[in-house]
Amino acid sequence: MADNLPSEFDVVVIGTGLPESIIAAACARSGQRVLHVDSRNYYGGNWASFSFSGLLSWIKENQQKTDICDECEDWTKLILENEEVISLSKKDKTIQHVEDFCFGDQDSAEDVEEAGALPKLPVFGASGAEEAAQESEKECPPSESALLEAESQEPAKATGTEPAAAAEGKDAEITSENESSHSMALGESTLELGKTEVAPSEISAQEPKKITYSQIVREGRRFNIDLVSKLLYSRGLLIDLLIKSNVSRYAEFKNATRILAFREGKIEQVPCSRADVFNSRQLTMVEKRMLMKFLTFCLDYEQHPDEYQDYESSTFAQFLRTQKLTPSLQHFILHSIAMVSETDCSTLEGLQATKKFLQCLGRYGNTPFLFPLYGQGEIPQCFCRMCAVFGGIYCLRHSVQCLVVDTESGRCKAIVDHFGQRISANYFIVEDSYLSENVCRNVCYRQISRAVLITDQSVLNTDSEQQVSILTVPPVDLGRPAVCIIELCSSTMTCMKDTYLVHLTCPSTKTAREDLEPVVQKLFNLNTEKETENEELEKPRVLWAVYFNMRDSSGIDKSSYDGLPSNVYVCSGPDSALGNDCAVKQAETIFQEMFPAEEFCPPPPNPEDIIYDEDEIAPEESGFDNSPETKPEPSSEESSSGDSSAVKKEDNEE
Amino acid sequence: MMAIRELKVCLLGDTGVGKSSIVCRFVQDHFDHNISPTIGASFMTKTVPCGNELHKFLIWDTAGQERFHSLAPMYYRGSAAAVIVYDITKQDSFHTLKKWVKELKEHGPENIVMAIAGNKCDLSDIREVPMKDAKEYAESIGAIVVETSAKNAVNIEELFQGISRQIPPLDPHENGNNGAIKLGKQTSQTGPFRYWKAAIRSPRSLLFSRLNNPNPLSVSSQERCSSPLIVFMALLWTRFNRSMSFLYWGVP
Ligand SMILES: Cc1cc2nc3c(=O)[nH]c(=O)nc-3n(C[C@H](O)[C@H](O)[C@H](O)COP(=O)(O)OP(=O)(O)OC[C@H]3O[C@@H](n4cnc5c(N)ncnc54)[C@H](O)[C@@H]3O)c2cc1C
Ligand SMILES: Nc1nc2c(ncn2[C@@H]2O[C@H](COP(=O)(O)OP(=O)(O)OP(=O)(O)O)[C@@H](O)[C@H]2O)c(=O)[nH]1
Ligand SMILES: [Mg+2]
Repeated sequence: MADNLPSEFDVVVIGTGLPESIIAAACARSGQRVLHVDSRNYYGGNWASFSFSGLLSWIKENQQKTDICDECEDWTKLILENEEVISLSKKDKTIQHVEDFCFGDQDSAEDVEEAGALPKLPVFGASGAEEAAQESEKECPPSESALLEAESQEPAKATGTEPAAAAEGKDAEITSENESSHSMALGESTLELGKTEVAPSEISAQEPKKITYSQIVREGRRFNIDLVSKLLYSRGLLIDLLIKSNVSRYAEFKNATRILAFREGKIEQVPCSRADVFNSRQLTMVEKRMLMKFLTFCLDYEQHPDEYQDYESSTFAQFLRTQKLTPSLQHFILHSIAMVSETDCSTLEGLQATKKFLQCLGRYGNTPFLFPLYGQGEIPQCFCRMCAVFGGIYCLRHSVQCLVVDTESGRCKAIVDHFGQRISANYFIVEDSYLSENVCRNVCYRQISRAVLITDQSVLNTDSEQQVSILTVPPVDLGRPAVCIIELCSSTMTCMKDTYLVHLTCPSTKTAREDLEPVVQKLFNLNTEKETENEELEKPRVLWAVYFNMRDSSGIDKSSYDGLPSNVYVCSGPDSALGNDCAVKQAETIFQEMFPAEEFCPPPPNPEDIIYDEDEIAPEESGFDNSPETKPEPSSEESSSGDSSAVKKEDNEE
Repeated sequence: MMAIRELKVCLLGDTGVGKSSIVCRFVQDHFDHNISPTIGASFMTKTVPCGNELHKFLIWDTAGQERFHSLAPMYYRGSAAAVIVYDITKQDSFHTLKKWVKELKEHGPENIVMAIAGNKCDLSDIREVPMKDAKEYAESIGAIVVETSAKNAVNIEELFQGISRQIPPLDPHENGNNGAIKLGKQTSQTGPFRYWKAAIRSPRSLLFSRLNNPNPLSVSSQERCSSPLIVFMALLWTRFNRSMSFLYWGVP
């Protein structure tokens, strides 16, 4: 298995997030020799998914702000006189304010081990903690002041590793704290939740099966917990790319089954397909007609400019008010279908968003969204596999110390890796988090607030417990961002049986916990059973939770980075949008800049892709003709395809 | 008609042990002396009958990602079986086999069927790994073991038959694929959009186009066989149209 790494490539890609992986695949596909490295021991960077134990190690790693000072080979001797270096960052600083909480009993969880697993991530030894506050200096408002403030007020508290007794006391503390902050922030008595009074309610028989923390740990491998929470629009750029490039063969998907809305303290299902509209019990006949009429209009609103042109300068919300729609329908359309802001989305943008949603309906199911089995983290890996299929070389746990720049031409010539090997190439793709503070000093980053919860039941129980739901919770204060919630069931292969994985995401205004905890309190029961009031019993119980802020490096112009050579391209980490269009667009733009004459991820011609599919390659044919019309009926009994096309290589590395 | 069951099988083992040659022999009954190291094959398929089912093997090759220990976990996802290959003339390759087993236990699905193939048994005069060692090891981890020759077509069919037999029969209560969607190559024939429109204007034609043309929602074989369900849905759909048809008139 051991091999020597070649020292010359066409393209070196640093980081295995989605845009980098797409670029790597596109480059390899067009015949470039690609080296793809990641300093972590897992694929995906901030797009990765983790098992439960993997996530715990990730949390630990990000809470201990240690600098990795592993010995690197000296590389100064590798740099020639007419060359300069751009050092890369040694430590990922994109994750902040990580706080995890365990709400169940941690009954002897200390001794429990994940079945058949080894620790996935290296555990860094404790050492002088570097204050996270230091680095928030570079983060821009609105995050800056809020983050700093939060930092000083609330030292991160993590119960994940505390013994059970301590956790017990801790829970109560969280609860009371929540109550006060909650009622202050919301001042809505109807939504009161965080009661600490002890109501020794008898657990009734229909109570959902109790899952304990130790069960979660033991079944930890059943979890695939995404760092970013996204869905694929069924007619979005990513689906198109997956299909076009044939990378879709490597993954399977589930349709999101429900669109939910949160209105007047209640969760309701949003009818969006025609069948839903008619079946809906919460809509009156009149409302059904209104909704049908409005949505039908949205599908080809361009054809009816007279209907909206008077409102082009108003917000979509204002426009909706002028339509014959009841408040609940306006809510559905604004927050759950168009999923746009009430305050700053124009009529046209709103119509566009609504149309996009409606157009995505019905391609794969009753909602516009698909979710990859085993989590979003699979998608970058799928593109990496495609890259490898076309000869790309993969090295995880491989850090790059610096970029070597030719002083005269100003172009980057090579990298030096942590073994001190110098590897030359023509193009370099670097993910934002690998760039040093020097390079990013003028860059203004936004932040994403994230929470992940493991709960014991769905936010909206129906006959089927296997639901993938998306729920938008509008902001309490106008002008703040809405919170997007995706609830995954166990059949998405992201959580163990009888649990749900709930992802909350919004652009940050403060720390993730401050941004999202109020919403968590509204929708979930954060108490341990004993202290739970009856009304609380109806809400899903949170068994475990983590909050963190992730840097949003999307939408940054390359000129904001200091002193990067023209043949070094920067890929951003995940953005806060629901879809993946941003990553795909970025990948295509960068690829096209490097290779304007090449097609971006064209479908693989069969012989080169070396797919021997008995169903698809007719025995006597060349293998080119693969169109469905001429596809021969596969004879089910056939035992050997007899296809004669030999394994052909794109190019031969060795 | 027999039910077709798709089974993902992944291949593991040192470079040069004959992984690609084994698959090539199995799928195409062909052996090439000058096969070059795999930079990456996507995957190959072959269907074999097993009891009253047809097993369609989707055989994945590593695409070279294992060379620098960077195999992506998605490679193992949903694998029903893994074939771990060593070369009986190379002790080293038997040693690394054990590492692959460990890796599989760590990242692979729980109930994965493991099959160990001691390849190149046509070269038994320069053998370095005794059959006994492999047998003992396989027993200790509950794996199938067989010595194969891709060159002389020895035990290749048997290897996959062995895997087929170890695959537990489909649980009738559990939908084999959990209703997972595979994205097809063709785009919808009803046009790029208009689920809404189509549904409104002619529910019937939409219904039929969806029935006859499962793409791009290419329902996997398991579901394709459960047509009663689809028929039932179709019935619901029609009934629904009728009862609601008066509403359409409200829509200009
Ligand atoms: C002027 C007009 C406007 C309409 N506008 C709309 C509209 O805006 N939106 C909307 O959704 N519907 C509209 N409809 C209703 C719709 O087009 C059909 O009438 C309805 O789909 C028929 O379905 P059904 O189940 O009620 O028919 P059934 O009562 O089940 O069918 C009656 C008979 O006709 C035959 N049949 C009906 N449709 C087909 C078909 N497509 N292919 C082959 N045979 C068929 C069947 O064999 C059956 O025996 C409109 C109908 C009319 C006449
Ligand atoms: N004598 C003999 N040679 C074999 C046999 N199987 C494979 N070989 C030879 O072994 C060499 C390597 O075979 P491959 O099938 O490419 O091995 P691989 O495991 O796919 O290698 P990588 O793709 O590099 O990981 C080739 O030269 C084959 O001809 C066998 O059964 N007997
Ligand atoms: Mg090979």
